[in-house]
Amino acid sequence: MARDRSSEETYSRPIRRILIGVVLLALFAVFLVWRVDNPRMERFRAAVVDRVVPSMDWAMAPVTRTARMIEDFQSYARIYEQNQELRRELQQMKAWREAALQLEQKNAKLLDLNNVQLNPQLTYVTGVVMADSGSPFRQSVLLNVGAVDGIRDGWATMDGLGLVGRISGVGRTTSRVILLTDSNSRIPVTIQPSGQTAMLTGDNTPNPLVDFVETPELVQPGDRIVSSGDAGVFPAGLLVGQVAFGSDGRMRARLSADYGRLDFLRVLRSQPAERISDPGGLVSTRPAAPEEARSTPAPDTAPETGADD
Amino acid sequence: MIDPVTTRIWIYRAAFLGLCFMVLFLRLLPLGDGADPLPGPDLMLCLTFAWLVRRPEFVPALLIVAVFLLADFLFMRPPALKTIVVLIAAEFLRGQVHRIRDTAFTFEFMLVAATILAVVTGERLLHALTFTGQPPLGGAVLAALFTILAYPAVVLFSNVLFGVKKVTLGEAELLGHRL
Repeated sequence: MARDRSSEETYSRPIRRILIGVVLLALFAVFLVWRVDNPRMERFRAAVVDRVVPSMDWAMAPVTRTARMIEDFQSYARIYEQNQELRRELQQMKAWREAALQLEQKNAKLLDLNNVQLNPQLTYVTGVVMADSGSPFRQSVLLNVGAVDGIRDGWATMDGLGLVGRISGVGRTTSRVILLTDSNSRIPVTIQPSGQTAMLTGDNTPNPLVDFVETPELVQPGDRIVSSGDAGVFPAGLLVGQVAFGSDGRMRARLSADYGRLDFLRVLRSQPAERISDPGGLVSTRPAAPEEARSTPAPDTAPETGADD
Repeated sequence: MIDPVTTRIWIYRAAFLGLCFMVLFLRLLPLGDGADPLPGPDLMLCLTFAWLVRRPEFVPALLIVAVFLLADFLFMRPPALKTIVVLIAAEFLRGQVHRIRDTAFTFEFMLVAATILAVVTGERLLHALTFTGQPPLGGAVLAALFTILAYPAVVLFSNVLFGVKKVTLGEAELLGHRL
């Protein structure tokens, strides 16, 4: 045995080294492919997630439910304080409700005056949050709707109230939502009463930064932040949150969406806004203009809805 | 007839795979808002090193690659980057096994702690070399620290629940050339 072992070692050790080297090279190749051809690898990643996560679903549901129950039970301990707090909030809400009703009537009248039609293309698909692969470094959730349900990359995602994030990565039956708090998230926003445009920049904290405001003096804490629709990233006018100033004096957003409980999310089916790519007929006469205009992926009803005016 | 030693090894390999899946699964659970300020320890790394140092035959290189590659894909990390670093570190530790076997836990702990730090440094270095975006330094250092602190607990856990212990002399003879 002893002689056997030593001879085996002399042969098997270099072979093992070589094999490990081959595996390392293969891994490095995978990484390089990801670096060079990112979209393809991300599609592959989506496919992997698509296979792995739903198969864990049966186990996830009970564990999650139990944890939530424990959380709820803990909240019973503070029930009296909560009751007081709720009463106070209810009082405030009554005042707000009154204001909202008045505003709603006013809004209806104004809309009537202008004969505005709200965008009928803004419908949504509702998905359930399956998994939360968030970490301090990457903040995203997985939804149980995917390419089968017509989800596409880049669509906006909301909970009942506010914007949550955008779709980034679609599998066959799953899709990933990058939250606004993720450090890769950048969306253009408008700060409401003053109309200042800004950039909402996630930095892995619960309250993302509001950057690039032209005149910060015009912005007050508590101002509403809505998506601006610039650059065609999101439809305009989705509620994001309120302005708040962090302890470091930087402008941040207190998000309206309840990030503590992301259960059901709405994925807004937004169509890409039509681009005006050629000069009009009055400015210069170009014979071959219509061909290019058709080739953009415009929604089927869009050309008739008065884009020519 | 299947050799009982071989069966045992394969059972432990399956157990390792199961534990790793459990860790992945716990990380994937939709609990909390993901905005936890403190990064958790990398339990998978602890587990791999703890078992590797005790019984290298339970965690073959390919198993490590498979598990960490899957984790890379699931957690939105650059694929294979961490796997490369972990595999190199694991092979380093595999070479040290005979040295660790005869010494006290302190030596093992220090060696593994140094390896974990090396893994984190190596990962960041590769990130920097390939210009991929990387998480903030403070968080990474904290994560490494927690991972190191979690290591003794993981060792205890493997020892008590799974009986993954260092090979004693008697066993070594029984296992023969496998070591």
